[in-house]
Amino acid sequence: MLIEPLEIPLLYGRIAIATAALSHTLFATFIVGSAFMGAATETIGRLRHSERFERLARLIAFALILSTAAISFLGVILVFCLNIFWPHFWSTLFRVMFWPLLLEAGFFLGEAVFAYSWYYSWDRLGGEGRGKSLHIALAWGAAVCSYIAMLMIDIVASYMLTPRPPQPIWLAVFNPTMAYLHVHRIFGNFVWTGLAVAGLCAVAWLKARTFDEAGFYRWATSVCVLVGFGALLIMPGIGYQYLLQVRYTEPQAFHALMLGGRSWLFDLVALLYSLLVVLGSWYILRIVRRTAPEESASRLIVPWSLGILFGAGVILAMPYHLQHIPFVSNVTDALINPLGKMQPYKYFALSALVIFGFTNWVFLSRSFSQRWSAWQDIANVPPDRRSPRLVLVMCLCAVLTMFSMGWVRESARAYNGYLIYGVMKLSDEEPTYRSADGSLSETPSAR
Amino acid sequence: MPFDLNLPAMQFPLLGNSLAVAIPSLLHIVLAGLSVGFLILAPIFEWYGRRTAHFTDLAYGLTKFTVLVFSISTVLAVIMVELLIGLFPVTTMWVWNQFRGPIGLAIAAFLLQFAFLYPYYHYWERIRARSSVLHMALGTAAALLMLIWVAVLDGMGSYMLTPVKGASPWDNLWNPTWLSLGLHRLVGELAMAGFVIAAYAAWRLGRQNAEDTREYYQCMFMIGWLSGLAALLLQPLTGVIYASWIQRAAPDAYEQIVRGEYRLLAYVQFALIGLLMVGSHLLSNGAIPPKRRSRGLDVAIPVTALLMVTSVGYTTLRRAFLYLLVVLLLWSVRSLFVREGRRWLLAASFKPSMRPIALALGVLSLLVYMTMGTIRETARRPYTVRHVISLHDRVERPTADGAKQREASYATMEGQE
Repeated sequence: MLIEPLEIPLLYGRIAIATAALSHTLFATFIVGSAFMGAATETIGRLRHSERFERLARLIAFALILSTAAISFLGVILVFCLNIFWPHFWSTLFRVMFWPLLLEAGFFLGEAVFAYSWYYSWDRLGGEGRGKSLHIALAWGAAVCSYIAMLMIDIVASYMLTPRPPQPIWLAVFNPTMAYLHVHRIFGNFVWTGLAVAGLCAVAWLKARTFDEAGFYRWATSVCVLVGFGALLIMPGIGYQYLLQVRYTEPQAFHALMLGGRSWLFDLVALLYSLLVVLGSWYILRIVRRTAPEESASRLIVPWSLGILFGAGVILAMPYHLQHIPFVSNVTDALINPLGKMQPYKYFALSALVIFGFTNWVFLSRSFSQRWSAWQDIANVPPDRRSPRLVLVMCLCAVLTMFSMGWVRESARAYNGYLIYGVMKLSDEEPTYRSADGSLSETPSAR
Repeated sequence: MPFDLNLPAMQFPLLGNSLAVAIPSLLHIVLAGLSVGFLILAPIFEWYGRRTAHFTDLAYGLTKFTVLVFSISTVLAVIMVELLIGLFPVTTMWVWNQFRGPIGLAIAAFLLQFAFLYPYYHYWERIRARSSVLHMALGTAAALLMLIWVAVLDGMGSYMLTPVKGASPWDNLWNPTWLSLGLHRLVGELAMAGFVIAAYAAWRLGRQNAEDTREYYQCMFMIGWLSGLAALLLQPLTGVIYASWIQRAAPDAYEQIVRGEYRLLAYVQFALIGLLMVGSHLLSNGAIPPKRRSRGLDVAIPVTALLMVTSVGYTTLRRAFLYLLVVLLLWSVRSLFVREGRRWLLAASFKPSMRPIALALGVLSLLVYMTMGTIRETARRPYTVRHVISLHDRVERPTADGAKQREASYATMEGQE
């Protein structure tokens, strides 16, 4: 009823929504990860009586409240865009997912209240004793609320790809990919947040003017890389399970992503993943070379491991269907790249990335032991400008991975023309953009 | 696998749809209204802070509050919007689509406001050390950009009461009650902000304080109270402008406010305003020496307030009493100042007996703001968009044809204007 057609191409709406959604997601995922990381670092700081962990927790808390403010407004923009550009889709999805969406907003409110109380009560409660326990409880309150909010959004996001009848609501809530997407996102958040905070610390490390500052930020960068890089190595296992579920539930969508027209996007994700593992290992190699004891096995293993990871990364990033990559037809007529086959090459490559990446991660974690004394005597260590820059490149790769991964998931539906898979098509929004007879478009509820 | 995703209209359990939307909306507008008021006052106080340091401290405190509650207020807005989409999808979608362009502008202004507000607060000392004018300019820019956002939202709110058949979304913004609502709300926000500042200062003064902090809170109390009072004295004028525009554009809505089903809300509103004015007089009395107090005003102000409340249903009479009350209060406030040569000086001070009154005025100002919001919403009943969409979220269809019925509903509105 009564809605003047937008009279613009459908693509404009898609671009507006994609931009709003991707920027919103970037901050939203950061909030979940940073709330947990912040709470954990403050807890560890208290248990170990470590000022460094306390300082890192405060830095994370500051990043958290800034992103909470940003995301709350980006959320409003996303809702505005959805209502204006895809009103039929949004009102339909909203009716089906009313309670999860409402609960999500409610728990996000809880997260904001806890997070702000946490950060702004630091001087008052952050000392010792009972006040400190309450302060840590506030941090965990923010973490739990953000986690539940994310769970609610995962219900909605997974429903769009693998929908079930809207009533009873449990069928829709526990749709086939809900649990898989959720677990995938939990670890994905830790990858992104770990590397994003590491990036922030790396900037501060580069800008540090005193030994104390440089020492702290060098240590903090490595702690965050440890978190992000560790979670990164778990992702392929979870992602594999998620994809299997998509394959069984929506084979068409799976085909579009893995072998079809959008397989190049998945190759891009594979390339970024490989880059992250290689760059992370390179960073570890630099730590090993500078600070590992002479007799440490890491001095022998990590360089070799990096070489193997490089080879594995190249294989993993190779495309199989060459002609699905934009503009490749200008270069070659070949249809298939046999080395880009999943079975066996990419499976081996992925296994190598995880196994050797994990080996390197173990050495990074060992660098925090007393024997290595990597983080203590900063004054005796020559200045290092390359390591923080490496971390910044990793951070950039993590941002690109988040964007492309989001795009991959949306593509799984959109490539086959769906907004809600198998139920609602993108073409259903056409009346919002132009009406065939020149009359006004109708909202679904008024039809 | 295809199945039908169209579900029947939702009914929010226990609360009902209207109340479910009203609760987060009211919570949101209180925080948002206070934030807008503080954002405007902060650079002004900072300007005065060039002479008195307490003003600068107050400006910083107000900005801190704005930044602190920003996310909470925005999330409340998201909850409100989500409830609107779920419970009133047709209304929400229609109204938003009537304002596509202005919404774009509002979003851009708000994002830009972010870019000014955060450095304004988080780099307060650093920027002031470099240039205090630049710092004030940041605060002013943030406030002005926030006002663009508020103006667009006021446009949408006023449009729901007095819709027009605009040729473009920008014309829809220019509906009969837009500017008057914007002005009335802005002054209301300043009044609320002032009284809340005074209430907070009074609360802090009741606790153990070091001497320098005590002096700061006394100063804060006076600044807040006088700002609130100034806006309160201005508010009857902006209220009459707003009411007369409603009367002209939607006479039935005006009738509904003062004599209709929800007239109780109007009585409550005027009772609260009366109490605010009586309370302000009591504060004024408390702040000056007994010999300068006026016995006549002690009787006249409460009696006039009472007469104003009882005459709510009689527009001319009520307005006469309201203006009389404003004049009496101005007379009462005059005793706060003494003349020294050519200048008027403030000769008032905080006393412990004023604390409960100040706290009560803070609460009352919040209640007035919320009641006014509720009145504006009930004025549209039984419509969500007057004469266009019903409270049951259904389009009013005098004819079967979609285009014709739309024309007809607009024609009705235009006739009333």
